[in-house]
This record gives sequence, C-alpha cells and structure tokens, in this order.
Amino acid sequence: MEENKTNPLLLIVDDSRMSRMLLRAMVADARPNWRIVEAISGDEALKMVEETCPDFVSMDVNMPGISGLEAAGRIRIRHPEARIALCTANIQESTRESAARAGVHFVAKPITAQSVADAIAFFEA
Amino acid sequence: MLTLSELQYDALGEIFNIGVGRAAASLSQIVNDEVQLNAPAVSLIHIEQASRLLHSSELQQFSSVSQTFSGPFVAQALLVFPESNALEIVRLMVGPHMSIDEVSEFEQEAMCEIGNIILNACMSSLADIFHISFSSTLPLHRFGDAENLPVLEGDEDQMVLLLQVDMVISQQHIQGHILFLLSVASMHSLVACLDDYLKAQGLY
Amino acid sequence: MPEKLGNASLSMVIDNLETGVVILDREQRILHSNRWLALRSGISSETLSGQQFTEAFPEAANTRLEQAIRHATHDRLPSLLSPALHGTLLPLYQTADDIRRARRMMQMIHVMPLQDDSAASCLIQISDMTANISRERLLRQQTENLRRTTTQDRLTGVANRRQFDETLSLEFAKARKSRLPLGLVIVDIDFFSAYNTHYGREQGDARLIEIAALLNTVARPGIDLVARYGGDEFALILPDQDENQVAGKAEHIRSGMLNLNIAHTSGIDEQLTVSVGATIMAPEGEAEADTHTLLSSADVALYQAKNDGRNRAIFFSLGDGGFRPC
Repeated sequence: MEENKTNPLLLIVDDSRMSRMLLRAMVADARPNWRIVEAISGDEALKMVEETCPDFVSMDVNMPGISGLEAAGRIRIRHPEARIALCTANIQESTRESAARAGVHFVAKPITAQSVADAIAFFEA
Repeated sequence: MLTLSELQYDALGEIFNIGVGRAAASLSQIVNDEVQLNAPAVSLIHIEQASRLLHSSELQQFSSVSQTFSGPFVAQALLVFPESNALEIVRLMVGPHMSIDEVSEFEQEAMCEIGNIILNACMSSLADIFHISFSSTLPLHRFGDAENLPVLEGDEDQMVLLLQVDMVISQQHIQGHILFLLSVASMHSLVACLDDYLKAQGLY
Repeated sequence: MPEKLGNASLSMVIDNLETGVVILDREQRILHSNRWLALRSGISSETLSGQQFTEAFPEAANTRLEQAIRHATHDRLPSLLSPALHGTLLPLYQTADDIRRARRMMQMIHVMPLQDDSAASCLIQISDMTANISRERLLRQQTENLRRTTTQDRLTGVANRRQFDETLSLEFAKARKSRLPLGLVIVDIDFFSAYNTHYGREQGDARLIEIAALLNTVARPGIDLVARYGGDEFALILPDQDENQVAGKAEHIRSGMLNLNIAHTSGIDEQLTVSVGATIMAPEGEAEADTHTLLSSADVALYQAKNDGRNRAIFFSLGDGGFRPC
C-alpha cells in the first residue's frame, strides 16, 4: 500500500454509470489533485484493492453480486486504514448508529454537492 | 417509438432505486425490522407488452395499488403484486402470528398504505432530483386478474415505464412490479426533465 | 357554497364532523383542530393551536405520521396510515372508561396537502375504525406490538438479529475494557433453500429448531449468546475464549450437525451439513478494531469454508490474515 499524501487515491464503486460519473465529476471539481478509479461491482473492487490499495473508497450498498456492505467489510480486514463511505438511500436509524460505532460512514443518496462535501470531510478527517 | 439511451436508462434506474430505498427505510420503521427494496431493472415498453407480460405470469390474481401523479407530466403509477405475494407481504408486516383469515382482512388497507409509501417515495425521488413537483390522488387498492388490471384500461398509445421490484422482509424474498403509465406527450415531457437534469450535472 | 356559508359557518361544519380534523401550516404548527379531536384526545383546540404537531403529540415523532406530514407540506403528496399497520398511533379514546383502561381507539389517518395560497398547508383527518375491527383482531394486534419489542427469534427461541447486534456491541466494549479476547462464530446451513424446496417450509422450520438446539448445547449458558443471524444463518458470541477454544466449538458444531444425520437428497453425502466461519479478536490489540471488523473476519472465514467445499469449519486469524481448518 502506497501512501501519497499529495495525491490520494479514491475508488468509486457503483453499478450505476450515472452515479459513478456524477461522483467523479463532483469530487474532481472539489479535489482536482485526487486520483480516481472506478469499479462496477464489489467483486471488481476487491480485485482492484488487491493490486493497489486506495486511500478512500466510495461504495454503493445496493449492487448485484456481493453487497457493498460485505465488500466494505472485506476491504477493511486487509486494509484497516482505508476510509470507506457507504452510499445508500436506505439509512435506517439503527443502521446509522451501528455504522457510526463501527467507523463506517454513510452517505445519503442521491449524490449532491452536499453529500459529496460530507464524504470528503469524512475522508480527510 | 420513443427509446432511451443507456445513460437515460441508468439515470432513471438510479433515481427509482433511491426512491425504493427511502421507502424501505420507512417500512423498516413501521415493522421495526430490516426491510430491503431494490429495483434492479427499468424498461420502457408499449402498453401491449406490459399487459402481455402480466398476462403471461403464472399467478392470475393480482393485488394492485394506484395513484395518479400530475405535474410537468401525468403518470398513473401502479404497484402490482401477485395476490399470494401481497398476502405474504402483509403477513410479514402486520404480524406472522395472525391467521390467514385475519391477514386477508387487513390486506386491502395494509397494501393500500404500503403502495402509498412506495409510490410516493418513487415520485418524490423523481421530483427532488429533477426539481419539479407533483400533486397526487389518494392511493386506490384493487384486486383483479390479468383481464381487468388498469393497464388494459389505458389508451393504446400509452407508454409504460416498468420496474421490477425485489423486496426482502424477515429474510423472505418477494417480487412485484411498478408500472408508470404515461401518454406519449407525458413521456416526452419526462425525458425532457431527465435531459435537463443530466445537462445540469454536466453529464451530457 | 363558501360564499353562502361564510367562515363562521364553515368552522361550525368542521366542528360537527364525525372525523378528527387538524390543519397544519408549512412548519407543521397546528392552525386549527376540531371538536371531535378535542373530545377524544382530551386536549382543547385552544391548547393545541400554535403547537408543533409532534410537540402536541410526541408519539408521532419519528414515525410514518411525521413523514406523511412532511410529504404533504413539502412534496405535496397525500398519504394514508392504515389501522392494520399503525392501529393506535395517536392517544385518542372513545370513552372515559377507555382512558382509564388505556384502551386507545383504532385509527385510520389521511394526510393531504392543501393546495392553497393561505397559511394552511396540510390537512389531517382521523377516523375511528374501532367498530370495524373485531375483538380478536384487537388482541392479535396487541400481541403483535409486543412481538416487535421482543429479543427472541420467534421460530427457534434463540436471540434475534437485533439482540445479537446489541450484545455484540456490549461484549466488544467489555472485552476492550477487560482486555480479554472475544470470539465469533457464524454457522450457515449448506443448500438450505434446496432443502426447503424439496421437503417443504415446515420441515425446513423444524430443522432450524433442531439446529438451534444443537447450538445451545455448545454454548455456555448465560455467557455465550446464540442468535439467528439470518434466514439460514446462526451466530455465536463467545466472550473470553482463546483461538483453540473457539475453533474447537466451531468444529464441534460442524461434526455435531453430521451426528444429527438429517437426510438431504441434494446435500453433501445426501446429508444436511453446515459451513462454519470462526474468528477471535483481542480488541485492545487492534487500533482500528470494531465490531464491523470482527463480523467481517468471521464472514470471510465462512466464505472460505463455502469456497473450500462446504461442510467444514474454518478459522480466520486477524493477526496473520491466514485461514486454517478448525
């Protein structure tokens, strides 16, 4: 795992092309120096993480194949220093609480400038 | 015939998934248990195809909830479940302790509310993201067979946005559909709102 | 009609309706409520006027009703709250005797946006449905309300998922404080959906009860927790156990399952088997440790067990990131 403080690496994982494009555009706008790579599923994300570990991961919860939660869990085991933000429209209070306890950050969908700013703040904290 | 690009399909799919995601959160709050809702596929089809699809499913009895939304376009929204699935949903949400008779007694009103939650969530998601607003009729529940579903009452020119809906409550997987019936003019209007949104986000 | 009736008369009409009426403004403050409501809530219209709806009726806060009100005031969409799903949401009573016995009326609530330029933004209508509902149903609904706050899985009697989540957090914090390790085992029934399809749901349910009983024999009473983790998954929380003890229990479960000798035509060796994932964590040893990491570790071990062919118990060691059979 490389640590490059000036050019952090963000991995965007989402099966929706529109979501990936949107997130990439907004993050690139707020943080032009970040490197951004994409994965369309949890499985693909896990493969990519084995090669190069990202500093930050934005993970959609709702994807075909292995769920975002499961993929996030596996990434955390191998790379506990990676910061993972889970994106979902379905944030139930109990989930939010247990996620906060586990250090997993939830970002509400739809992706807006506000939710992106929120995620960036979590990544850089 | 109006067709959608991959990006437009993708955007609609994402918007409706956000909607059903919010509906799932509301339903979870009611039963105090985890509820998952997913809309994995959205397709734009002609009203004939929609009725053929429903006709062809094995289970002939349906439980449906409909609301008509009016705004920059008019859409009649229908949540449709095969009757046995609807009964299962109500049983899971109202109380697994109850007998089949009791659950049947509740089915109409419970489905009416469940449909209301899901349809309101889908359309308010669309409204939020497109920055438009709708008014709506109250939810109406109907039993029927494939012969008399409202889908067939529509005008031949109507277009249908069809969503498959996957629900998980108490680890039970239940499937249904959401249909949005629009006239050709309304469909064009919806696509215009969609395109405005994509342009505004710099995705075009 | 309005021109002929005038405002005072409209007010009178609303007060004589056999339905509860509440009118809210955009900020969800009560602009008007009618006599029906005053009589059944015991709160006068004057008292209610000006209050936020959720202040006047605190049990509506964070419920579907509050959300329906938001849908009406902000999204301009109508909502329906059925007696089946909510029953006795608001504190409304038919008679003084009912108040004494804390017997609320069954309610059907409609929440509608008011399309108007004036301050009125939302109309809430409450109907008394008690007459439409049988006594049996009322009793059942009470049982159901009780069930929702329970901590037991209704089929097997072991802890339910919610209880598991809470206990895991608790035990994790305890382990951190006492600097003792915490073990976690996840048990997944192999090819269970095929079992249900072949033998029927009732048989499947009976097997779940048997497996829960097996797990109870492995657990230390009062110390370990056995929980129904999912449809065909169970989990055990094992406080203060070392690697060998946890792995031992995991293997005990796997072989115990074989001893039950449950036939399954599409199972491994035509038997019902389980795959088991096990792990332990010493919370104070890991800086970034949390329950999520513990769960993921056990999950990863289970995944490996399935991958390796099922009917096995695998231990995942967080320390070296390696797998070994239990």
